[in-house]
Amino acid sequence: MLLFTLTAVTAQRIPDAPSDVLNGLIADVAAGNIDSLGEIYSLTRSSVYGYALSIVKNHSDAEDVTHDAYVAIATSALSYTPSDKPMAWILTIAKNLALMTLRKRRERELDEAEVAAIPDTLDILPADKMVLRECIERLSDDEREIVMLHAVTGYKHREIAEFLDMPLATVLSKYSRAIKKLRAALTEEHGRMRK
Amino acid sequence: MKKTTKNEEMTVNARVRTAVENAAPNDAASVINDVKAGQSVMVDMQTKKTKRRGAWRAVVAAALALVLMGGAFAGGMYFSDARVASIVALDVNPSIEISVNKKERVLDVRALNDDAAAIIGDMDFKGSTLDVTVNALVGAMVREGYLSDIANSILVSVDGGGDEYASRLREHVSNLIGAMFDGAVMTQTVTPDKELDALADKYGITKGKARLIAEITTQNPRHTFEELVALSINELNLIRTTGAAGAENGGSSRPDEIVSQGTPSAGAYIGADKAYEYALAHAAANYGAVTDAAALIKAPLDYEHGVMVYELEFYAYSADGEHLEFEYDVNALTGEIVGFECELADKGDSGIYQPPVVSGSSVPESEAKATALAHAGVKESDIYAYTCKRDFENGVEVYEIDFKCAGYEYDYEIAVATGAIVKSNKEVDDDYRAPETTKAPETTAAPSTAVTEAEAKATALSHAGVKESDIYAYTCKRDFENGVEVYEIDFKCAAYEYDYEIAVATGKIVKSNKEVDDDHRAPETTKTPETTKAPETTAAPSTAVTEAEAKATALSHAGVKESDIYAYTCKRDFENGVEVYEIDFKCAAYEYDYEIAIATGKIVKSNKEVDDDYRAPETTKAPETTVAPSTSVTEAEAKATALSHAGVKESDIYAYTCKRDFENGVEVYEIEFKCTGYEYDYEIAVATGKIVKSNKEVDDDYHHDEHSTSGSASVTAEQAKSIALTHANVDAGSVYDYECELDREHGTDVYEISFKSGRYEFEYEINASTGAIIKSDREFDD
Repeated sequence: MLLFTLTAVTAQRIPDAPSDVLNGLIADVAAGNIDSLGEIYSLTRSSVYGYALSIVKNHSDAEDVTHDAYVAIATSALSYTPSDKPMAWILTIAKNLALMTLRKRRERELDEAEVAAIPDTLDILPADKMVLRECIERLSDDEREIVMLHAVTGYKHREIAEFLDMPLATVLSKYSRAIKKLRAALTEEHGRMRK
Repeated sequence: MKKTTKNEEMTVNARVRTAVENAAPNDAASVINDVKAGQSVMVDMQTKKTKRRGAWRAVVAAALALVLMGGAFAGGMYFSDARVASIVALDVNPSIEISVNKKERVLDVRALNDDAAAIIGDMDFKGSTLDVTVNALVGAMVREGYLSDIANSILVSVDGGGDEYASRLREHVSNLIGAMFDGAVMTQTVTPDKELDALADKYGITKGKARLIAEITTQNPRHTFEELVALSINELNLIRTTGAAGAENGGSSRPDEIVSQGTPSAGAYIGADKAYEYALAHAAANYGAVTDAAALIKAPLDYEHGVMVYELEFYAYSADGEHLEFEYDVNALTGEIVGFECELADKGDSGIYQPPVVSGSSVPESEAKATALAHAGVKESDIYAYTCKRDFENGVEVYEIDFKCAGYEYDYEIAVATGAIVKSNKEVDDDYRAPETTKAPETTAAPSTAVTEAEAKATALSHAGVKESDIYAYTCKRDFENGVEVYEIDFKCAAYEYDYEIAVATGKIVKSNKEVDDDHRAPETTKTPETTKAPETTAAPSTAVTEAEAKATALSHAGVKESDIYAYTCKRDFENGVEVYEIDFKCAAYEYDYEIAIATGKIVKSNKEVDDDYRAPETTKAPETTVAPSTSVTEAEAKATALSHAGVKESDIYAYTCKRDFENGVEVYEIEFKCTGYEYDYEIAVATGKIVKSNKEVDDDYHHDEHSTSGSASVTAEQAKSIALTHANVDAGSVYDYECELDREHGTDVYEISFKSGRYEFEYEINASTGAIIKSDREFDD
């Protein structure tokens, strides 16, 4: 009950990219106005990158998937029919590219440096790096996808269940387990950094 | 207990979101760049199968769009894996090396010759996929005419990454290019070979081309490396195909072996049939030979006597009924017979056949000219713009004679052998003006010829990098261009039209132009562009202008007073064959730079630039009030531009400063601000509102948890508490379990406050910069 209210509150906080705005922008891109792609990019890049990262588990690949996803969005915009779920369309494109990246990566022999999920050289705050590393290391694949979709994209649990084709109860329990794990990890890290 | 969980869950979510936002790439420009390149891929796909010239034009248009927008995007910040895994080299004539990392992302694109530099231009491919890059580069080569339906070969050489990987990459790139146009793609894996690398260095060609040439010379030892170096990839491919005819292609798995796909175009050449026709005509004229049916044995293209030739072998019967075997080398461009041999077919190589008839009769040019004039009914003294050249028309050697007279253009073809008029044409001369201008410029204006036509021609040929024997449709006339007397030289070679203007006085190239010859098929279509402009003899180089006059002209043009200028210099120099005064001076924060023709006093060049060294006499405001145009962008607009580029909201930023300054002579707003752990630093041009510089760095002073004490949060934790308590209408004394945390919620710093009072639990979110209550919640605490 309590959890339910909370979910509503969290989801409501993300008014960044309402569906009609995205629908309009995708239509613009389809009509050849490439500048609108830039707007779609700035509205959704975190969602796309976060979701890609949850699948490929490595910054460099997630970065590439993000880049390629927007190229693909531009080329498929013509075949897009406006719906109430433009974000799901965008994420599906990213998901397919991310899965392709995983397949390709299996074909290539990987060197360890390349697998380094979040490189030290990445120019973001150490605290941010730590959060991303914990997400990658501590969470299962499902948990990570759910957390990203919820925290970054602002999907409600119901929407996540639909998008991932999972029972709502499963999403809820995976989500709460994931948050617990992350909380523990972050508190632990926090304590370590204090010392 | 549950409340704590809720708070922490929100914190975890917020931290994940913040981390992802900061780590996510923010380079929409590179995406848009790739999309535009990709659009040319789609156009190419659509036009692939149509083999008409129109298809090439479509590719050109698409590629042009890409090239034009290319300059807008300087190197993006997007990129991480910077180790070179392989180098993919593209050779056409432009030679380009693309370095990619393991994921086939482009690290660098390098031009190996001038043509390549022109192709790459402003395009920046760093971080793009190999596919996009190859597409854009090949598209640009099509646009520039390096690849067309008359020369369609491209060599792809892959160096590094391991044999298996390289062969996969070769195939991929080959398919990619194959999808763009009907091309002939050769691919190879570059294996180490010191000798070949040294040769490549020596001749300034790529390792890939060196290996291609080496393969041809191995197949066909008649050719030497040196003689093949100058050939284009398409020519090499044609020769290679000839040499390898009958040999196996593909199947073998030697990694360094060249794999070829598609057929190299011989569209630049006259075609084997035409060559056969010419050879037969020659044989008939010299041996009285007649064809026997299906006698052409073979007619491959090859490189002989320094030109591309059709090597023809055929049988024919002489007038005496002798069975003869002929071998002809016919210049593949012009149809000229460059070599021939005739033997008695049945007697093998023992008997060289002696021709019974040798047709030596030919008419001199003067006779042909007289014929033409007589036919036109004009006098030699009345004509001008006369040109005459020998050419082959349908296998017959003719004089092509053009001239003008009294408002008409005449155009004759007269057979060299017989003197008969093969073709005649008379048209109204559109350029014809008044009778007094009919004086041919070539006869009137010849004051001091420093350079002969022959020298000018040699200059043009050398600049074009072609041999005299290869060119045709050559014309040369003297004319005035911008007051300078020039040789206007036009010629064609290998399906290109060249167009030069060479100053008569200095021999310098004033203008050069090279384009694909749309009419090119066989030499018979040679249409001489004969535009005789009304001679601009008005500006004859006689009147000389003094320096003082030139200075006055410059000052007046600049709109400044002599008393205001400084750093004045003037020297005489030659620019493009014109003697000029080079006048430089400064005035009020600008540098002026003039070139004024000494002969005419006209301004040849003028330039005005902001003077970087300039310090305004008193305040920095000087330039904007005196000279600079009025501010077109306000600070607020500049700020909005910066925020939008940074992707942050105004309410989230702090430590904002803005000042106007000059950077490299451009007035800019220097805008600095911070937001969630990052420092942003922008320079935005006052005049245009464009971002001149942008920078984002981690803010070392930023501490997430201590943020409340930093300057950004204008509301203190205490103030936030009192706001919350006031709103809840509870007494501070009754509050317990009070918690307060400064956190970020989708871009805004907020105090997350929770406390209990009586039987209720309260939760507040309060904007840390404004003190506004974002969220309030009261629940019964069980």
